[in-house]
Amino acid sequence: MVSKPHGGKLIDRTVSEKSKERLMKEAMEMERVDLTEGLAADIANIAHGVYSPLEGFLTRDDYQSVLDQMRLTNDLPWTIPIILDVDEEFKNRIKEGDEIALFYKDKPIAIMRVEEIYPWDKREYSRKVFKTDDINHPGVKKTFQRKDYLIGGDVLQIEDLPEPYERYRLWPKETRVLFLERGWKRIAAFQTRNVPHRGHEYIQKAALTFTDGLFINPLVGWKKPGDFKDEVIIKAYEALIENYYPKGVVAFSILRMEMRYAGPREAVHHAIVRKNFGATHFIVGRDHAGVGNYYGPYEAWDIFKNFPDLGITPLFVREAFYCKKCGGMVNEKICPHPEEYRIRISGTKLRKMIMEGRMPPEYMMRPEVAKVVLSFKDPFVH
Amino acid sequence: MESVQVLIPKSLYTRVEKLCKEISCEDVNELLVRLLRERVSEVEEEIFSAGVSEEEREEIVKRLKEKGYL
Repeated sequence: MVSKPHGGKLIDRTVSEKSKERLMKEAMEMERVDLTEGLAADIANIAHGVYSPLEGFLTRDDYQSVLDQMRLTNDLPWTIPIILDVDEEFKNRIKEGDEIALFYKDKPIAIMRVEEIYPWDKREYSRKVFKTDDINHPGVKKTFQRKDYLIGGDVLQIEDLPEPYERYRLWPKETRVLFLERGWKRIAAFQTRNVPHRGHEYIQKAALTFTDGLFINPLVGWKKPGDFKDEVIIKAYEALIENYYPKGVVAFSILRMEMRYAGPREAVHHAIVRKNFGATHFIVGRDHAGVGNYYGPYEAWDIFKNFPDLGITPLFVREAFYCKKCGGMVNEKICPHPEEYRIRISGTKLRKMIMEGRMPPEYMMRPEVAKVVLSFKDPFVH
Repeated sequence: MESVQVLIPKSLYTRVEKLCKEISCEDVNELLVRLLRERVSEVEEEIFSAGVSEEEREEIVKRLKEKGYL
Protein backbone atom coordinates (compact mmCIF):
# COMPACT_ATOMS: atom_id res chain seq x y z
CA MET A 1 0.00 0.00 0.00
CA VAL A 2 1.15 3.52 -0.66
CA SER A 3 2.07 5.63 2.37
CA LYS A 4 -0.66 7.40 4.26
CA PRO A 5 -0.38 11.16 3.93
CA HIS A 6 1.50 12.89 6.72
CA GLY A 7 -1.07 13.59 9.41
CA GLY A 8 -3.50 11.06 7.90
CA LYS A 9 -5.26 13.23 5.37
CA LEU A 10 -4.18 14.59 2.02
CA ILE A 11 -4.83 18.30 2.08
CA ASP A 12 -6.68 19.88 -0.82
CA ARG A 13 -6.83 23.68 -0.79
CA THR A 14 -7.71 24.15 -4.43
CA VAL A 15 -11.05 25.48 -5.63
CA SER A 16 -13.53 24.23 -8.20
CA GLU A 17 -13.68 25.82 -11.64
CA LYS A 18 -17.11 27.14 -10.65
CA SER A 19 -15.83 29.22 -7.72
CA LYS A 20 -12.65 30.33 -9.44
CA GLU A 21 -14.11 33.27 -11.31
CA ARG A 22 -15.90 34.67 -8.25
CA LEU A 23 -12.80 34.30 -6.06
CA MET A 24 -10.63 35.95 -8.71
CA LYS A 25 -12.91 38.97 -8.66
CA GLU A 26 -12.89 39.08 -4.85
CA ALA A 27 -9.11 38.79 -4.80
CA MET A 28 -8.78 41.87 -7.00
CA GLU A 29 -10.42 43.93 -4.23
CA MET A 30 -8.13 42.69 -1.45
CA GLU A 31 -4.78 43.87 -0.16
CA ARG A 32 -2.16 42.01 -2.16
CA VAL A 33 1.20 40.40 -1.56
CA ASP A 34 3.43 39.82 -4.56
CA LEU A 35 5.13 36.48 -4.32
CA THR A 36 8.50 35.18 -5.35
CA GLU A 37 8.64 32.04 -7.46
CA GLY A 38 9.56 30.02 -4.37
CA LEU A 39 6.59 31.28 -2.35
CA ALA A 40 4.21 30.71 -5.23
CA ALA A 41 5.51 27.15 -5.41
CA ASP A 42 4.98 26.75 -1.66
CA ILE A 43 1.34 27.79 -2.09
CA ALA A 44 0.81 25.25 -4.86
CA ASN A 45 2.46 22.62 -2.68
CA ILE A 46 0.19 23.45 0.25
CA ALA A 47 -2.88 23.48 -1.97
CA HIS A 48 -2.16 20.13 -3.60
CA GLY A 49 -1.22 18.31 -0.42
CA VAL A 50 2.52 18.10 -1.02
CA TYR A 51 2.96 19.73 2.39
CA SER A 52 0.12 17.86 4.12
CA PRO A 53 -0.93 18.41 6.90
CA LEU A 54 -0.20 22.12 6.38
CA GLU A 55 -3.17 24.10 5.11
CA GLY A 56 -1.33 27.38 5.01
CA PHE A 57 1.70 29.28 6.22
CA LEU A 58 2.84 28.60 9.76
CA THR A 59 1.45 30.60 12.63
CA ARG A 60 3.77 31.66 15.44
CA ASP A 61 3.46 28.62 17.75
CA ASP A 62 3.96 26.15 14.93
CA TYR A 63 6.83 28.22 13.58
CA GLN A 64 8.59 28.22 16.94
CA SER A 65 7.85 24.55 17.52
CA VAL A 66 9.34 23.62 14.14
CA LEU A 67 12.45 25.66 14.90
CA ASP A 68 12.89 24.26 18.41
CA GLN A 69 11.46 20.76 18.27
CA MET A 70 11.42 19.95 14.55
CA ARG A 71 7.75 19.14 15.07
CA LEU A 72 4.46 20.96 14.64
CA THR A 73 2.53 21.78 17.80
CA ASN A 74 0.43 18.65 17.19
CA ASP A 75 3.65 16.63 17.54
CA LEU A 76 3.93 15.68 13.88
CA PRO A 77 7.48 15.73 12.53
CA TRP A 78 8.14 18.88 10.48
CA THR A 79 11.58 20.33 10.01
CA ILE A 80 11.47 23.26 7.58
CA PRO A 81 9.22 26.22 8.46
CA ILE A 82 6.92 27.11 5.58
CA ILE A 83 6.56 30.85 6.01
CA LEU A 84 5.31 33.94 4.25
CA ASP A 85 7.24 37.16 4.83
CA VAL A 86 5.91 40.70 4.41
CA ASP A 87 7.36 44.14 5.04
CA GLU A 88 6.39 46.55 7.79
CA GLU A 89 4.42 48.80 5.47
CA PHE A 90 2.21 45.89 4.39
CA LYS A 91 1.92 44.64 7.96
CA ASN A 92 0.53 48.02 8.98
CA ARG A 93 -2.15 47.87 6.29
CA ILE A 94 -3.65 44.56 7.42
CA LYS A 95 -4.95 43.05 10.62
CA GLU A 96 -5.55 39.55 11.90
CA GLY A 97 -8.76 38.14 10.45
CA ASP A 98 -8.38 39.93 7.11
CA GLU A 99 -8.38 38.12 3.82
CA ILE A 100 -5.53 39.02 1.51
CA ALA A 101 -4.74 38.13 -2.08
CA LEU A 102 -1.48 36.44 -3.03
CA PHE A 103 -0.28 37.48 -6.47
CA TYR A 104 2.28 35.88 -8.72
CA LYS A 105 3.38 37.55 -11.94
CA ASP A 106 0.60 40.09 -11.52
CA LYS A 107 -2.19 37.51 -11.22
CA PRO A 108 -4.00 36.43 -8.06
CA ILE A 109 -3.18 32.79 -7.37
CA ALA A 110 -4.49 32.41 -3.83
CA ILE A 111 -6.46 33.92 -1.01
CA MET A 112 -5.17 33.82 2.52
CA ARG A 113 -6.92 34.40 5.80
CA VAL A 114 -4.50 36.24 8.06
CA GLU A 115 -4.53 34.39 11.35
CA GLU A 116 -1.43 35.92 12.84
CA ILE A 117 1.20 38.56 12.07
CA TYR A 118 4.49 38.27 13.91
CA PRO A 119 8.13 39.31 13.72
CA TRP A 120 10.88 36.74 13.26
CA ASP A 121 14.49 36.48 14.16
CA LYS A 122 16.36 35.65 10.97
CA ARG A 123 19.54 34.83 12.81
CA GLU A 124 17.76 32.36 15.08
CA TYR A 125 16.01 30.87 12.03
CA SER A 126 19.33 30.49 10.23
CA ARG A 127 21.13 28.96 13.16
CA LYS A 128 18.37 26.45 13.77
CA VAL A 129 17.44 25.56 10.20
CA PHE A 130 20.84 25.84 8.51
CA LYS A 131 23.00 25.31 11.61
CA THR A 132 24.90 28.45 10.68
CA ASP A 133 24.36 32.17 10.27
CA ASP A 134 27.20 32.48 7.80
CA ILE A 135 25.96 34.75 5.04
CA ASN A 136 27.94 32.71 2.48
CA HIS A 137 25.52 29.85 2.98
CA PRO A 138 22.95 30.24 0.14
CA GLY A 139 20.01 29.54 2.45
CA VAL A 140 21.20 32.03 5.06
CA LYS A 141 21.81 34.63 2.37
CA LYS A 142 18.25 34.22 1.12
CA THR A 143 16.87 34.32 4.65
CA PHE A 144 18.51 37.65 5.40
CA GLN A 145 17.10 39.07 2.15
CA ARG A 146 13.55 38.29 3.28
CA LYS A 147 11.14 40.79 4.82
CA ASP A 148 10.82 41.39 8.53
CA TYR A 149 7.37 40.03 9.44
CA LEU A 150 5.65 36.71 8.94
CA ILE A 151 1.99 36.10 8.42
CA GLY A 152 0.41 32.79 9.24
CA GLY A 153 -2.91 31.41 8.09
CA ASP A 154 -4.69 29.06 5.71
CA VAL A 155 -4.50 29.56 1.97
CA LEU A 156 -6.91 28.71 -0.79
CA GLN A 157 -5.38 28.41 -4.22
CA ILE A 158 -7.48 29.82 -7.02
CA GLU A 159 -5.07 29.40 -9.91
CA ASP A 160 -2.37 26.83 -10.62
CA LEU A 161 1.04 28.09 -11.55
CA PRO A 162 2.02 27.87 -15.19
CA GLU A 163 4.35 24.91 -15.59
CA PRO A 164 6.70 24.76 -18.59
CA TYR A 165 7.18 21.05 -17.95
CA GLU A 166 3.49 20.25 -17.51
CA ARG A 167 3.94 16.80 -19.03
CA TYR A 168 5.96 15.87 -15.97
CA ARG A 169 3.97 17.64 -13.27
CA LEU A 170 2.14 15.24 -11.01
CA TRP A 171 0.50 16.08 -7.69
CA PRO A 172 0.22 13.62 -4.77
CA LYS A 173 -3.33 12.62 -5.71
CA GLU A 174 -2.06 11.66 -9.13
CA THR A 175 1.03 9.75 -8.02
CA ARG A 176 -1.07 7.87 -5.48
CA VAL A 177 -3.46 6.76 -8.19
CA LEU A 178 -0.53 6.00 -10.49
CA PHE A 179 1.13 3.76 -7.89
CA LEU A 180 -2.14 1.99 -7.17
CA GLU A 181 -2.84 1.47 -10.87
CA ARG A 182 0.61 0.05 -11.40
CA GLY A 183 0.12 -2.23 -8.41
CA TRP A 184 3.13 -0.83 -6.58
CA LYS A 185 3.10 -1.44 -2.86
CA ARG A 186 6.65 -0.45 -2.01
CA ILE A 187 7.86 2.69 -3.66
CA ALA A 188 11.34 4.15 -3.26
CA ALA A 189 11.51 7.88 -3.85
CA PHE A 190 14.64 9.56 -5.11
CA GLN A 191 15.16 13.27 -4.63
CA THR A 192 17.56 15.05 -6.94
CA ARG A 193 18.74 18.40 -8.23
CA ASN A 194 21.35 16.93 -10.51
CA VAL A 195 21.78 15.20 -13.82
CA PRO A 196 22.18 11.47 -13.18
CA HIS A 197 25.62 9.93 -13.05
CA ARG A 198 26.46 6.27 -12.56
CA GLY A 199 26.51 6.67 -8.78
CA HIS A 200 22.92 7.90 -8.79
CA GLU A 201 21.87 5.08 -11.08
CA TYR A 202 23.52 2.52 -8.82
CA ILE A 203 21.73 3.87 -5.74
CA GLN A 204 18.38 3.98 -7.54
CA LYS A 205 18.76 0.43 -8.81
CA ALA A 206 19.86 -0.82 -5.41
CA ALA A 207 16.61 0.56 -3.98
CA LEU A 208 14.56 -0.73 -6.89
CA THR A 209 15.86 -4.24 -6.32
CA PHE A 210 13.71 -4.67 -3.23
CA THR A 211 10.82 -2.33 -4.02
CA ASP A 212 8.11 -2.41 -6.68
CA GLY A 213 8.78 0.95 -8.22
CA LEU A 214 11.15 3.88 -8.26
CA PHE A 215 9.78 7.40 -8.01
CA ILE A 216 12.34 9.86 -9.37
CA ASN A 217 11.27 13.31 -8.35
CA PRO A 218 13.73 16.10 -9.21
CA LEU A 219 13.25 19.55 -7.81
CA VAL A 220 12.73 22.33 -10.30
CA GLY A 221 12.78 26.01 -9.48
CA TRP A 222 15.34 28.23 -7.81
CA LYS A 223 18.73 26.64 -7.32
CA LYS A 224 22.13 28.08 -6.59
CA PRO A 225 24.56 29.08 -9.33
CA GLY A 226 26.52 26.09 -10.58
CA ASP A 227 23.58 23.67 -10.26
CA PHE A 228 22.14 22.18 -13.44
CA LYS A 229 19.23 23.92 -15.19
CA ASP A 230 15.84 22.22 -14.91
CA GLU A 231 15.57 21.35 -18.59
CA VAL A 232 18.97 19.66 -18.57
CA ILE A 233 18.02 17.48 -15.60
CA ILE A 234 14.72 16.46 -17.21
CA LYS A 235 16.27 15.62 -20.59
CA ALA A 236 19.15 13.74 -18.96
CA TYR A 237 16.72 11.60 -16.98
CA GLU A 238 14.63 10.93 -20.07
CA ALA A 239 17.76 9.50 -21.68
CA LEU A 240 18.67 7.39 -18.65
CA ILE A 241 15.18 5.96 -18.15
CA GLU A 242 14.73 5.24 -21.84
CA ASN A 243 18.02 3.38 -22.16
CA TYR A 244 18.74 1.83 -18.80
CA TYR A 245 15.50 1.02 -16.96
CA PRO A 246 12.95 -1.69 -17.69
CA LYS A 247 9.58 -0.33 -18.80
CA GLY A 248 7.08 0.38 -16.07
CA VAL A 249 9.36 0.39 -13.04
CA VAL A 250 10.05 4.12 -12.89
CA ALA A 251 7.70 7.03 -12.34
CA PHE A 252 9.40 10.29 -13.18
CA SER A 253 7.82 13.59 -12.26
CA ILE A 254 9.03 17.01 -11.24
CA LEU A 255 8.41 18.95 -8.07
CA ARG A 256 8.54 22.71 -8.14
CA MET A 257 10.06 23.49 -4.77
CA GLU A 258 13.05 25.57 -3.80
CA MET A 259 16.18 23.94 -2.53
CA ARG A 260 16.93 25.33 0.92
CA TYR A 261 20.35 23.70 1.32
CA ALA A 262 19.42 22.94 4.91
CA GLY A 263 21.18 19.56 4.95
CA PRO A 264 19.79 17.20 7.61
CA ARG A 265 16.57 19.13 8.27
CA GLU A 266 15.88 19.31 4.57
CA ALA A 267 16.50 15.57 4.18
CA VAL A 268 13.60 14.93 6.58
CA HIS A 269 11.48 17.53 4.79
CA HIS A 270 12.17 15.82 1.47
CA ALA A 271 11.13 12.49 3.00
CA ILE A 272 7.84 13.90 4.36
CA VAL A 273 7.03 15.43 0.99
CA ARG A 274 7.62 12.11 -0.79
CA LYS A 275 5.50 10.35 1.82
CA ASN A 276 2.68 12.63 0.76
CA PHE A 277 3.25 11.55 -2.83
CA GLY A 278 2.67 7.99 -1.62
CA ALA A 279 6.26 6.74 -1.42
CA THR A 280 7.00 4.17 1.27
CA HIS A 281 10.78 4.51 1.18
CA PHE A 282 13.03 7.50 0.71
CA ILE A 283 16.63 7.39 -0.45
CA VAL A 284 18.79 9.64 1.69
CA GLY A 285 22.07 10.54 0.10
CA ARG A 286 25.39 11.25 1.71
CA ASP A 287 25.39 14.96 2.61
CA HIS A 288 21.79 15.15 1.40
CA ALA A 289 20.74 18.74 0.61
CA GLY A 290 24.10 19.91 1.82
CA VAL A 291 26.26 22.70 0.52
CA GLY A 292 29.93 23.49 1.12
CA ASN A 293 31.19 22.05 4.40
CA TYR A 294 28.32 23.15 6.60
CA TYR A 295 27.15 19.62 7.44
CA GLY A 296 28.89 16.37 8.26
CA PRO A 297 28.71 13.75 5.49
CA TYR A 298 26.30 11.54 7.45
CA GLU A 299 24.39 14.14 9.47
CA ALA A 300 21.46 13.77 7.11
CA TRP A 301 21.30 10.09 8.09
CA ASP A 302 21.66 10.61 11.83
CA ILE A 303 18.79 13.07 12.08
CA PHE A 304 16.28 10.34 11.14
CA LYS A 305 16.90 8.71 14.54
CA ASN A 306 14.76 11.51 15.98
CA PHE A 307 11.75 10.50 13.92
CA PRO A 308 10.63 6.91 14.51
CA ASP A 309 7.12 8.14 13.72
CA LEU A 310 7.93 9.56 10.30
CA GLY A 311 5.82 7.04 8.39
CA ILE A 312 8.28 6.60 5.55
CA THR A 313 11.36 4.40 5.67
CA PRO A 314 14.64 6.17 5.00
CA LEU A 315 17.11 4.21 2.91
CA PHE A 316 20.69 5.03 3.67
CA VAL A 317 22.54 3.88 0.59
CA ARG A 318 26.29 4.35 0.75
CA GLU A 319 28.13 6.42 -1.79
CA ALA A 320 28.84 4.44 -4.93
CA PHE A 321 32.14 4.33 -6.77
CA TYR A 322 33.66 2.37 -9.62
CA CYS A 323 36.04 -0.39 -8.57
CA LYS A 324 38.52 -1.51 -11.20
CA LYS A 325 38.99 -4.85 -9.47
CA CYS A 326 35.24 -5.53 -9.02
CA GLY A 327 34.67 -4.21 -12.54
CA GLY A 328 31.58 -2.21 -11.72
CA MET A 329 29.78 0.25 -9.48
CA VAL A 330 29.97 -0.78 -5.85
CA ASN A 331 30.02 0.75 -2.40
CA GLU A 332 32.18 0.43 0.68
CA LYS A 333 29.99 -2.26 2.18
CA ILE A 334 30.37 -4.64 -0.73
CA CYS A 335 33.82 -3.88 -2.12
CA PRO A 336 36.86 -5.30 -0.31
CA HIS A 337 39.48 -3.58 -2.45
CA PRO A 338 41.80 -0.76 -1.42
CA GLU A 339 41.44 2.84 -2.46
CA GLU A 340 43.88 2.49 -5.38
CA TYR A 341 41.28 0.43 -7.28
CA ARG A 342 38.46 2.83 -6.61
CA ILE A 343 37.42 5.66 -8.87
CA ARG A 344 35.14 8.10 -7.11
CA ILE A 345 32.65 10.14 -9.06
CA SER A 346 33.32 13.73 -8.25
CA GLY A 347 30.54 16.17 -9.04
CA THR A 348 33.12 18.94 -9.38
CA LYS A 349 35.18 16.91 -11.86
CA LEU A 350 32.07 16.02 -13.82
CA ARG A 351 30.96 19.66 -13.98
CA LYS A 352 34.40 20.71 -15.17
CA MET A 353 34.34 18.15 -17.98
CA ILE A 354 30.90 19.26 -19.06
CA MET A 355 31.90 22.91 -18.90
CA GLU A 356 34.86 22.13 -21.15
CA GLY A 357 32.62 20.18 -23.55
CA ARG A 358 34.42 16.90 -22.81
CA MET A 359 32.63 13.57 -22.78
CA PRO A 360 32.82 12.05 -19.26
CA PRO A 361 34.07 8.45 -19.15
CA GLU A 362 31.40 5.77 -19.17
CA TYR A 363 32.08 4.73 -15.57
CA MET A 364 31.03 8.24 -14.57
CA MET A 365 28.09 8.92 -16.82
CA ARG A 366 26.14 6.92 -19.38
CA PRO A 367 27.06 8.12 -22.90
CA GLU A 368 23.39 8.72 -23.81
CA VAL A 369 23.05 10.96 -20.75
CA ALA A 370 26.34 12.73 -21.36
CA LYS A 371 25.38 13.47 -24.97
CA VAL A 372 22.15 15.10 -23.84
CA VAL A 373 23.92 17.21 -21.23
CA LEU A 374 26.62 18.25 -23.68
CA SER A 375 24.01 19.21 -26.26
CA PHE A 376 23.13 22.23 -24.08
CA LYS A 377 25.23 25.28 -24.78
CA ASP A 378 24.95 26.39 -21.17
CA PRO A 379 23.61 23.69 -18.84
CA PHE A 380 24.28 25.54 -15.56
CA VAL A 381 22.37 28.02 -13.42
CA HIS A 382 24.11 31.39 -13.12
CA MET B 1 -26.53 -8.58 14.66
CA GLU B 2 -26.90 -10.66 11.55
CA SER B 3 -23.88 -12.85 10.85
CA VAL B 4 -22.35 -14.69 7.93
CA GLN B 5 -19.91 -17.55 7.82
CA VAL B 6 -16.43 -17.01 6.42
CA LEU B 7 -13.90 -19.76 5.84
CA ILE B 8 -10.43 -19.22 7.20
CA PRO B 9 -7.54 -21.69 7.33
CA LYS B 10 -7.67 -23.88 10.41
CA SER B 11 -4.04 -23.06 11.21
CA LEU B 12 -4.93 -19.37 11.33
CA TYR B 13 -7.90 -20.11 13.56
CA THR B 14 -5.66 -22.08 15.92
CA ARG B 15 -3.19 -19.21 15.99
CA VAL B 16 -5.91 -16.72 16.88
CA GLU B 17 -7.28 -19.13 19.48
CA LYS B 18 -3.84 -19.28 21.08
CA LEU B 19 -3.53 -15.51 20.97
CA CYS B 20 -6.98 -15.26 22.53
CA LYS B 21 -5.87 -17.32 25.52
CA GLU B 22 -2.69 -15.28 25.87
CA ILE B 23 -4.57 -12.03 26.15
CA SER B 24 -7.41 -13.47 28.24
CA CYS B 25 -9.98 -12.97 25.55
CA GLU B 26 -13.09 -15.04 26.09
CA ASP B 27 -14.30 -15.43 22.56
CA VAL B 28 -12.21 -16.21 19.48
CA ASN B 29 -14.93 -14.92 17.23
CA GLU B 30 -15.03 -11.63 19.04
CA LEU B 31 -11.27 -11.26 18.76
CA LEU B 32 -11.34 -12.05 15.07
CA VAL B 33 -14.03 -9.46 14.48
CA ARG B 34 -12.06 -6.89 16.45
CA LEU B 35 -8.84 -7.61 14.56
CA LEU B 36 -10.64 -7.58 11.27
CA ARG B 37 -12.35 -4.29 12.07
CA GLU B 38 -9.04 -2.69 12.98
CA ARG B 39 -7.39 -3.89 9.82
CA VAL B 40 -10.33 -2.99 7.63
CA SER B 41 -10.33 0.56 8.96
CA GLU B 42 -6.62 0.79 8.22
CA VAL B 43 -7.16 -0.40 4.70
CA GLU B 44 -10.09 1.99 4.33
CA GLU B 45 -7.86 4.78 5.53
CA GLU B 46 -5.23 3.80 3.03
CA ILE B 47 -7.76 3.76 0.24
CA PHE B 48 -9.12 7.07 1.43
CA SER B 49 -5.56 8.30 1.66
CA ALA B 50 -5.43 8.24 -2.12
CA GLY B 51 -7.74 11.17 -1.44
CA VAL B 52 -9.95 10.60 -4.42
CA SER B 53 -13.48 9.56 -5.20
CA GLU B 54 -14.09 6.91 -7.84
CA GLU B 55 -15.08 9.62 -10.32
CA GLU B 56 -11.95 11.63 -9.60
CA ARG B 57 -9.84 8.51 -9.85
CA GLU B 58 -11.18 7.84 -13.33
CA GLU B 59 -10.34 11.39 -14.36
CA ILE B 60 -6.83 11.03 -12.97
CA VAL B 61 -6.31 7.72 -14.75
CA LYS B 62 -7.37 9.41 -17.98
CA ARG B 63 -4.91 12.24 -17.37
CA LEU B 64 -2.13 9.82 -16.52
CA LYS B 65 -2.78 7.95 -19.75
CA GLU B 66 -2.67 11.19 -21.73
CA LYS B 67 0.67 12.03 -20.16
CA GLY B 68 2.02 8.58 -20.96
CA TYR B 69 2.28 7.30 -17.39
CA LEU B 70 -0.22 4.49 -17.89
